[in-house]
Amino acid sequence: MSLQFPTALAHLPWLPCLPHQASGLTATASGLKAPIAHTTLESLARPLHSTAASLLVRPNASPAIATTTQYLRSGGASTSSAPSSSQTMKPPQPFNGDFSKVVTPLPYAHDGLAKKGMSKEQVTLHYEKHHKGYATKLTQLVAQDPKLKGLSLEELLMTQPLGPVFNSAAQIWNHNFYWHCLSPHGGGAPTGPLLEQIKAQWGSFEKFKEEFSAAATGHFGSGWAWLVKTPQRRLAIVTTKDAEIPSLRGLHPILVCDVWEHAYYVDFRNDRAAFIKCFWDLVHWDFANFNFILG
Amino acid sequence: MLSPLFLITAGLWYLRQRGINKSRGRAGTFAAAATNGGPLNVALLATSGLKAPFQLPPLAWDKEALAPHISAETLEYHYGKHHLAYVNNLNDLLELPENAKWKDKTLDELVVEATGVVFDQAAQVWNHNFYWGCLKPNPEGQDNAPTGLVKDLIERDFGSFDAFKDEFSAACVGHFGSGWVWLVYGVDGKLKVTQGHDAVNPLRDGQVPLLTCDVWEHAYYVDRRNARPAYVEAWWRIVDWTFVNTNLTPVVPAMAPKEHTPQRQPPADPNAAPGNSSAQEALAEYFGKYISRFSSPVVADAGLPYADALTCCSLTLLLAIGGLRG
Repeated sequence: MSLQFPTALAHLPWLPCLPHQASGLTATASGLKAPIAHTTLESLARPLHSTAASLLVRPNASPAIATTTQYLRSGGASTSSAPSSSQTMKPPQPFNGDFSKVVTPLPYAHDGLAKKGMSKEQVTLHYEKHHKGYATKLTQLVAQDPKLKGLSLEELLMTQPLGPVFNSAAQIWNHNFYWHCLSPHGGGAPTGPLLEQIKAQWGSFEKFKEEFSAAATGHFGSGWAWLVKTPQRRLAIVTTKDAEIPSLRGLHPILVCDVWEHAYYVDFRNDRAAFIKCFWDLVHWDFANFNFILG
Repeated sequence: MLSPLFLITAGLWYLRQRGINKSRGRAGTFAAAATNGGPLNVALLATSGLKAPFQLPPLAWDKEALAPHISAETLEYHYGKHHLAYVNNLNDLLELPENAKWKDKTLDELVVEATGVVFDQAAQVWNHNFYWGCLKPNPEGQDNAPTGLVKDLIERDFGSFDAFKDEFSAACVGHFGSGWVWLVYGVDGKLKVTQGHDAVNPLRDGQVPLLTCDVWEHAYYVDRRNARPAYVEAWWRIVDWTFVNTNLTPVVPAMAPKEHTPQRQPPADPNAAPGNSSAQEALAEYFGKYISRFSSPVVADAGLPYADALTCCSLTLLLAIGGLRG
């Protein structure tokens, strides 16, 4: 899988470790279709709105480890035996390939963000046409390829190389994350451990905001601007091109801003800087804190 | 032939041409490429040959002229904000000390040689200059089929115009993220459809750009929101095939007369725009719009390069003949 590194690599003093190389994820990819691996991954493929934690593809929780945990939990039962009565997990269900089911329900009304600058038309277009459009496209692509039958969103993201399938899947994931980063009650400044870490690394929230805004405004072409946590438990600002996801590089997402032009063209036309200002009024710091603490 | 009058005239012409080339910032004769020896792109003669500080080229038509296919509002943003921002950003970048090595390069040279942020901005300036050249008004929404040399080459390399149109449209609609779709004259002499992500330009591969469609979202979001296929459908109606032919003519001059003999031309199409019946006529017609489309103080002083050559050569010959006879 030939991944491209995020463009804002200058923010990071080291090269991120590709989980595919490190944890042998590629080796276990073929085991993804085994019944127990399916059960475990099915828990990851739950509808993404159920908890924030399930949104995250945690690189340290590789299927290999999860499989072992599940194996031990089931009392060391062999893979071919029927699930024991003590097991509360449902029998493995292959994913039915309808990706409209993994699009997160919008956490607010379509006009919920309008008071703070993101109009109903912008949100409706972005969610109903772009976000759901990726799900429709992915459903079609997967239906055409028998090798992809039954794979969940996360399985596709972990196994597919850059291409139409990965792009659509990644955009579904990114947009799921993005909608939760915004809130009608958002804005202001972060609180708690996240604020402490921001102050420790940037001196002040204002300085961090300036740097994030510069990265988001300056990103060339389509992409996303992320606040991530590195494996060293430090924060970093990275931008990714097009549909790339930093989680696939061992970086844990805290917050994201969509800088594809469709995210702001209705309300702000070419003025991406004004859109980023509006983004700061919408940021859902509770969600960001949750991601920061759990990661 | 060695009469003093002839020698003086020839010498004056040579010095004048050197002066013109210097003011344009290009080495060599007017017929040499604006790039590193690559083919001459007539359409970009003025803007490519110029150096920083770059300017927004004037459009050949009013902002309302491309309606209903592309609205005036789109043009206000696309040309007046996005394109202008690329021009200003490029000029600002070239003022920075770390970009000193790019400061004396022409736009073509920047597109072919630069990297990083300088390339991004320079290529976007070039791409948009070219994109505006590719468009012409079609307020009635008439069918817009290719004519001239490019029509023959499309039929030769794609089988039919419809096959080419399908391939080009599929590339436009399918391109993921921001980018451009190009019809190029390849290094093997065949036309092909290529895609360039973000600002990538086929000049870097030694291909000659003939036609481009901008598929960055800002090109169509005002008019059509997410409906890129509808934008591409409308774009076909405003393609300026004259411009495409003029991009083609300098690279296939030997081909143009042979493959375009009058006997092989189809009967004149009453619906065809006037003056489009051959590549040579297309070139002449294009030059009629040349100054107004790409005029700048430098070019206005320098005049038309081919006309210069023709006039000066004719004058020299006449004087030489006069010298011989006298």
